[in-house]
Amino acid sequence: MKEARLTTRFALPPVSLGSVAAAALVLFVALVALDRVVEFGLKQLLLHSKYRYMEVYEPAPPARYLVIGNSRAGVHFPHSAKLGGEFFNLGNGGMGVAFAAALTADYVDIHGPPKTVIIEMSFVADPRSGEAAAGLARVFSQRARAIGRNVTPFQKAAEHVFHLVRFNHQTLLNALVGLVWERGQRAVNTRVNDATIAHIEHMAPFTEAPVAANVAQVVNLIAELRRRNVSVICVLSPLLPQMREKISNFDNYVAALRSLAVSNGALFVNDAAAISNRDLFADSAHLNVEGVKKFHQLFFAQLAQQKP
Amino acid sequence: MLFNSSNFLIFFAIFFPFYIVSSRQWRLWVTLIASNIFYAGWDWRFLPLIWLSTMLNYISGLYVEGRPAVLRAAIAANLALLGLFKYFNFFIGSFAELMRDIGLPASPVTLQIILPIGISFYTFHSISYLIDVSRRQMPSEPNLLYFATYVTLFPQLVAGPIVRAKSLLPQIRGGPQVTWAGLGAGLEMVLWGYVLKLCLADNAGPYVDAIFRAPALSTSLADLAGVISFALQIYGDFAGYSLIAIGIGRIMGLDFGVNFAAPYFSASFREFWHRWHISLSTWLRDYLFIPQGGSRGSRLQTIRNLSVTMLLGGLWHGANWTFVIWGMLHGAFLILERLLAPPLAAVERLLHLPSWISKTAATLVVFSLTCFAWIFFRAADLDHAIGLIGILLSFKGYEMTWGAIPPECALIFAMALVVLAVDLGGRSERLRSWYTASLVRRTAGAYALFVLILLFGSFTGQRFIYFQF
Repeated sequence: MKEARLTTRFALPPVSLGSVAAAALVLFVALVALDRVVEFGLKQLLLHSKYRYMEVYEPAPPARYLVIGNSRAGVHFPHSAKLGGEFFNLGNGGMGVAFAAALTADYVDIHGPPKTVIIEMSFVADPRSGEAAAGLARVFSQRARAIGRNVTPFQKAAEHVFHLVRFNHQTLLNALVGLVWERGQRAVNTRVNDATIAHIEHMAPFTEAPVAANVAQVVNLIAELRRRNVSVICVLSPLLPQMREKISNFDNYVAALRSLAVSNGALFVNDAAAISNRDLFADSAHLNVEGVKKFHQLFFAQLAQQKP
Repeated sequence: MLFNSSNFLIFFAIFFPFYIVSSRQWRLWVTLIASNIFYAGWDWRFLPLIWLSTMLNYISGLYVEGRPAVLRAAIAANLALLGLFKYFNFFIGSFAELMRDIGLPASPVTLQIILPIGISFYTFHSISYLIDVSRRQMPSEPNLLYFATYVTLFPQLVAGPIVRAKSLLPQIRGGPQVTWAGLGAGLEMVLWGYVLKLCLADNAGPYVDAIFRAPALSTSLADLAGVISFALQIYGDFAGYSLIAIGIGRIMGLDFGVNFAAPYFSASFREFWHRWHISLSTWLRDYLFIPQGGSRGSRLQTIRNLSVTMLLGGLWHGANWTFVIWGMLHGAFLILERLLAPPLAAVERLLHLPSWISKTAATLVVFSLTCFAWIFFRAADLDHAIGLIGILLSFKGYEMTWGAIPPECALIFAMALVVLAVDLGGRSERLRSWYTASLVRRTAGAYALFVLILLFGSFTGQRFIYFQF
């Protein structure tokens, strides 16, 4: 940026520690005041966004099915384009159980309870809180703000002074785009490539197990939903066969998830091996558009049998 | 102590009041002490090295005028220090590899050497000082305080810009003055620098890392987006760092010049090097290219001079063959451009192309080839670079399907649009005059930048890329 001489009609005092400190103070107060004004405006603007995580905070009748979980939930299950439709899908990449529970509670508060909540269970084995995926929840949700974070005191102070930092999230751009357009389908149109398959085949086997803190969150969430007469279906959706084979304790892992669901009064559906054609996967953990179509046929048939 | 860390903000908040209240002489002492604290914040063990370098060049500077032998010895000593810390293992390792390749046994002695941060920059500062004094382009500096302040001046210490002694020493000697104009302009530069670093470079960083680590796991389109993202990242990172450094200098009442000037809008490689890392490219021109004969000799000599200059420019960035190839590629581009200029001009005349079409096409070609060269600059080694190029040139996996490019690219390219739009606007003298003439517009612009940082900045504290050089 090319420098230009700072001109003003006012006579500026000579530069001294006092005058610079006074100028810094005035600048700081102005920045904080403007921060609050812009925060208010941005909040109002984003409430008009069709981005699904914003629609949690827009009053409307509840959907029949509410879906929660990480990206596998977001990709593998449907999302109705309009509020109050059949499916409202809050699944998002890296979403943790704590934030999913907070968003679910907000959803139920604002819209009323859905008939059924579908929980894609993969995130129970993920130790992350889901901060990176929880949308702009911290801006709009008291519950989300209450979830602890690993931030420095400086970052915490900065957020306290400048509320706009709360909007600093990877989903802000999606929310802004959502003012004009929202894509219902999260699945992508690519196929898992040979290099990814080779990479997975060279990986060392690993184990998966529910994380204790997540288990406690899921138990509370199911209990709270059932208290409000919401039926809960816990699902493990399709995994690329090569990836599934790398999980050395796969059967025990599924058994632990089943036990967690069933012992708390939820249904458990294991669809991890429901699709084995690699051409229907976009990567190791996500179906592509064709795969999702096939999974929907299968899952809707299962849903009809369960009659939740 | 990174410019994008809370430690630096605290450091500057403590330093600046002392700087303002100090008298002219004490201001330099305050700066010198602060610069040493700043440097010790990286690694205090390297303080003696920078003191040694300062003393060596200070004393040499006093005796270098009219004594070529002193100049040669002093430059050799500077390069020996640089070579030991930066290139020793590289050359020993490469030599041993060569020996092994031709079947001779080789067990090289490598040293556990940590690269002292900023050594390439302060060595170049000092060499330019010695050469300028020996050429009688400036007097030697008899005052050690002034000279030590010049070498260690913290805003430009670790990653430049490489401000020449003949430009900065007179400012230090004259006593830098803090003015409202300097404060305002400096703050604007710092803000824009943070936008470049936090909003563009640091948002691109994780995506670029993932692509260059395992390009085969993504589509070719995603890999191509990764290469372009690196071009944007390194620009945001280094131009951002430079602007923050230059802005802090302006706040302190010092003028470091300009280091980047919308380089990706260059219509030729010659223009690119007039706009990219200007302080290094002019350094290489004045102290390497021109002394070899520049472009005054035959065509063959010019080609040789360009090749040597760009090769050494590449090697300056680091002890790795990837940097050598990067420098050689840029040398080749510059040479080809000279050779092809007459026939291309003839074609342009023949086709009666409007200048904006040929200029846009040339800009796109320059940008594409620059991105190609960046692959070598960024790749961990030659195998990785060639592997990535192989994928890109396979011409498979470029289908524009939903998901072929990951969603994180949206933020990178949105930020790039903002940055490149400002760069493009800055090229228009009329637009720049309109903007800078009004305090209201400038204040609104600065506030917009501040909001952009709060909303889209990445506060993960990523290092500046050029600190490794």
